[in-house]
Amino acid sequence: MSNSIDRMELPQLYDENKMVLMVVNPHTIFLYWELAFSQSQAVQDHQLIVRLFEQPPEQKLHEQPRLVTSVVLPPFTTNWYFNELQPDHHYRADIGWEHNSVFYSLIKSNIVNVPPAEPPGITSQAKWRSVEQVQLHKTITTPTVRSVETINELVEQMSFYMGIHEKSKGV
Amino acid sequence: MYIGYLAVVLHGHLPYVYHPEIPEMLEERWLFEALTECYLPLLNVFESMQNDKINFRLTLSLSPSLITMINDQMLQERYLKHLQKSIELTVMEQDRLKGDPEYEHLAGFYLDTLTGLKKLYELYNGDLIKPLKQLQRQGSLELITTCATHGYLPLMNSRSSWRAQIQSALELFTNYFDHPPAGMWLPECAYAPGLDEMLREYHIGYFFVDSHGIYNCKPIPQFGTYAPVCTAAGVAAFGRDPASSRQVWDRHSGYPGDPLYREFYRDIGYDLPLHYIGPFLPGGNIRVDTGLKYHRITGSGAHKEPYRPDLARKRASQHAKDFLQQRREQLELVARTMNRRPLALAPFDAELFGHWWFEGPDWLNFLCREASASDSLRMITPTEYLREYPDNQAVELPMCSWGSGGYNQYWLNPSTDWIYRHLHHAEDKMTELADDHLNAQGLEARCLNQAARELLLAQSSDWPFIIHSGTAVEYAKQRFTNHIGRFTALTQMLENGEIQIDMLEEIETRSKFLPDIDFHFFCSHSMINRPATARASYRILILSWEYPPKTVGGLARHVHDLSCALAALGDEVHVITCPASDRGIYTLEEGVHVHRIHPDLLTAENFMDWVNQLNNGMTELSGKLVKVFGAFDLVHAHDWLVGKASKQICGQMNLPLVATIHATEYGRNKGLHSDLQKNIHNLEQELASQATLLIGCSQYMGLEIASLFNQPTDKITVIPNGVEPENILPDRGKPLSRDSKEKNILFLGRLVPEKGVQVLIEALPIILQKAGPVKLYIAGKGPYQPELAELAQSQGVADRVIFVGYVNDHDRNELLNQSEVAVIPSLYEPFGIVALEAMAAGLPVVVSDTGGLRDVIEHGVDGYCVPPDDSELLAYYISELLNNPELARHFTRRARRNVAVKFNWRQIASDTLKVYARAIKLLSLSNPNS
Repeated sequence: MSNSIDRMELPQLYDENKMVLMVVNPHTIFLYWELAFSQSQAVQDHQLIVRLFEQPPEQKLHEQPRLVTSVVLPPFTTNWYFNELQPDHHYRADIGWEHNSVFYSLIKSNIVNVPPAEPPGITSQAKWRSVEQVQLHKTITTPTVRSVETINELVEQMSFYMGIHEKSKGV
Repeated sequence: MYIGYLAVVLHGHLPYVYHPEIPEMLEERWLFEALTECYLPLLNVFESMQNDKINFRLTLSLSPSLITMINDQMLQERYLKHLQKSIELTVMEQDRLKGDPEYEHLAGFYLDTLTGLKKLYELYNGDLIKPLKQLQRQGSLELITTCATHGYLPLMNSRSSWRAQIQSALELFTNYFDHPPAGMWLPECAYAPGLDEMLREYHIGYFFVDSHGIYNCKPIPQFGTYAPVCTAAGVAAFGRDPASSRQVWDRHSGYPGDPLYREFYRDIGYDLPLHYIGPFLPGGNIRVDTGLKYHRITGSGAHKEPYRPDLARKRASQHAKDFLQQRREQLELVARTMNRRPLALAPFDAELFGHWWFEGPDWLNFLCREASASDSLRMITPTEYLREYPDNQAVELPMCSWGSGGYNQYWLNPSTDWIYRHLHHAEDKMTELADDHLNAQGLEARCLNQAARELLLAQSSDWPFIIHSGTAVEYAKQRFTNHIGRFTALTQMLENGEIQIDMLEEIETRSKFLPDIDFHFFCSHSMINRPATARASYRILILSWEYPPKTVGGLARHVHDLSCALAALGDEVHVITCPASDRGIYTLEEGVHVHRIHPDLLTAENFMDWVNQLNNGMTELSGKLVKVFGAFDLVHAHDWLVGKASKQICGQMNLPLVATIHATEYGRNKGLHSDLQKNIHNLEQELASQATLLIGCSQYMGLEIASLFNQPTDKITVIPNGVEPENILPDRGKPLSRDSKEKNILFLGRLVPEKGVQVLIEALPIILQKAGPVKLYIAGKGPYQPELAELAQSQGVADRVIFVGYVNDHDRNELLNQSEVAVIPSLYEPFGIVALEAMAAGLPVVVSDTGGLRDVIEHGVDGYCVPPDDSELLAYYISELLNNPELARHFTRRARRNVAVKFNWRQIASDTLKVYARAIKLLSLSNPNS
């Protein structure tokens, strides 16, 4: 046994529908996917296609995504690199198949924001902001919980409500 | 008078290499070499300066894995053995080189050096933390740390991984150094937007990025890398000064390439015959570095001159002077354009000093001594700098790293891309298990903690780095595989409910790392706390015309769940709302103060007059509340009905106003067709303009609010609606044992054209063709029902469509339970809570790709998202789910998790608090006197 945990193997498949886009650099993104068994069975007769879309920026969400490229996948492909993209843009991919020029999309990926490759062209007014001061000797997490006693004490002082205690008992 | 600052930052890290199962492991030498060549010599330098009362400043980052290995007893013993053996080798070398005028002195040099280090190590008793702490206390050393296993943060898929990497590192560091670090070194200086928020949550004041990270900020930082920038979350990012790095780092023009310095690539481990050197090599025959190197760089050719330590040391001193001179000139020049002292920040891998650049520690020694005597330049730590200049330029910092190419490609490329699907799957699985075992005890908790440990170890950036750089590739691959494999074995034991204790124990012996790890770090929401920007508690006044038990639409539920979640996070929440027959004018419900307008005040028959009376009542009551409870911090208004009161209250009390706009009159009616609608639209406009900040429930609503009411987008925050996990029905698990072969499709909603039921009815004939006999249950009522019935008739599917009418909660759950798929075919949908409820109930969903629905569904993962008003595609996707129950089960399993994670009230309350904090800050900025 002592050998087995030092010579493990990777799972081949996880049996899930999954499609993930990742940023490589401002011009390149990486896409990988897996189809659940039941999903791959359902599409085994179709030629799968991956499409890449440029998503509109956040202020223009009503605009339609723009198709950047469409790739007919060689068999057994499970990932793809998209190169020569525009920096500082948003991208999303999907996978599916086509019939009578209707695209049947199986899975959509997450949206990635590709970083800028150079300084922004326009300069705007500099704003200054105080860095939140480093607090030493503070415990790492301190969730705050209010004690109910103080709220009840407050309720006791409420002069303008008449008979509230009777009424709130039913709650 | 000094003109500027120099901050030298050293980052020390090694991957966790611990192999109790083997007496001697080749890769353990990484640690031994680093101790001998880098960390002990550096400590020597620090202490000598301390003894000489030199006032120096350095920042040292130590990774949790390095700290752990340095302090591990087994590794300490193995190191001493290793050191002893190296000393024996130098003794042997003295004999071998006796009489050799060029080389004899070098054996003596190494013997002295190594004996000195051994003495030092024994003096500390192996505990290198103690002297470092001492240096920190004295102020010359600022100690910080990095992520638990040096995980590469931008390529992780979940925030819970960020949390686990950061929090377990901070806890480990605090255990060793008694208090948390002021800043953090992001592994590989890799930053992704959003990380700053988490650092802020953990009170981390600063981190470092590469130069281009600063240059590409929006807006362009005025001072470039000569001053830090301030991220949106208020954390400082210090940029690397390219000139200082070049002089030290650059392979060709940098100092370490000087001909007088020691040649790294000539080691007797490679040069001497095996019969002689074999006993000092691993396995007796694997050629590795012994650390005994006798030559200087000399030149680019193969011929190498003997090494002369005295000459090299002299050169290091010259280089230190040169470095300072260059910094002085550089800073002098730039200081003229700045209204503060410029800072040159020089971050390095600690191992450069001593390991790669043998004379590095000497150079640092000379540098610090020179600098402490300089009157034009001072060494500084980031904390000291921020104390002097807390105000820095506010920017949006883009993704960047200090790896080759400047982004992620050193860790994500064709040689390493295969690791990420395993890592991402494990992240998901870990969060799922942590959520499902919140109260785990004993063996289960141990199993979960070990799984968390394995995942963190698998995440180490070292594995892809080593694989890509092409050295020790097999070791890195096997380590990665072992951690993922052990993780999988552990999670399978947990899922099967059969934990084999011997297996667990054996896995545990392979890592004496992160002893206090807590798998709860990976929970999706139990770790959600108040955001760091919010005060410990606010007194909030919430205005909503509906509140349970009175519910007309989804508003009452929303305000109730939000109020309760805020109260649970520590706020004092007061809601003013309409009267309810079975409630008094004041009740304390689940920690929320609910105040109801006295029914006598609401006498009007006309709707708008009634609204007016309601608002007047709210304003009057708020004044009384202040007298009893004290002043409010903020008013939160829900929808236009309470617009007037919120305006009056905020005006009188000078309070910030946050308004949630749940839906708009314009959107609901696709235009404004009556005077009442126009009137309401104007009131909505007024509320939007009046509000300090606005909240919309989906990206779509955010845009609608911005365009309809002409509001700037940065005034609007999108926070989704939530579903209370307790209301989620039990999993349907196996298909229902109904004898009927017919499958049921369910629609829930009002019967109005914008809900799109007509599209679904048009799809029905195609579904019947593709998926066999089905029934469509339409639950809800509305003016459009007759047209829908007629359409069913004309499509020839009238016998397949059942109009159920209005359903209560119980009947709704019953319907959800008896259906195979829920369809939300809306043409307009600000949010689409029905989709969440169906998902929570374990029913697969097909929705329109419109409005808020597209924020809810991940197409092909937890449901299908179909172009609106396309009956053929709608039919296709519904049939897919009906025909492929296995796939449908994948979707529902995922959907239930996503609902619990993404639409969780605690998260929503925490996000809402961020908006409150911002609104309060904005108001205080606009009236500085208050």
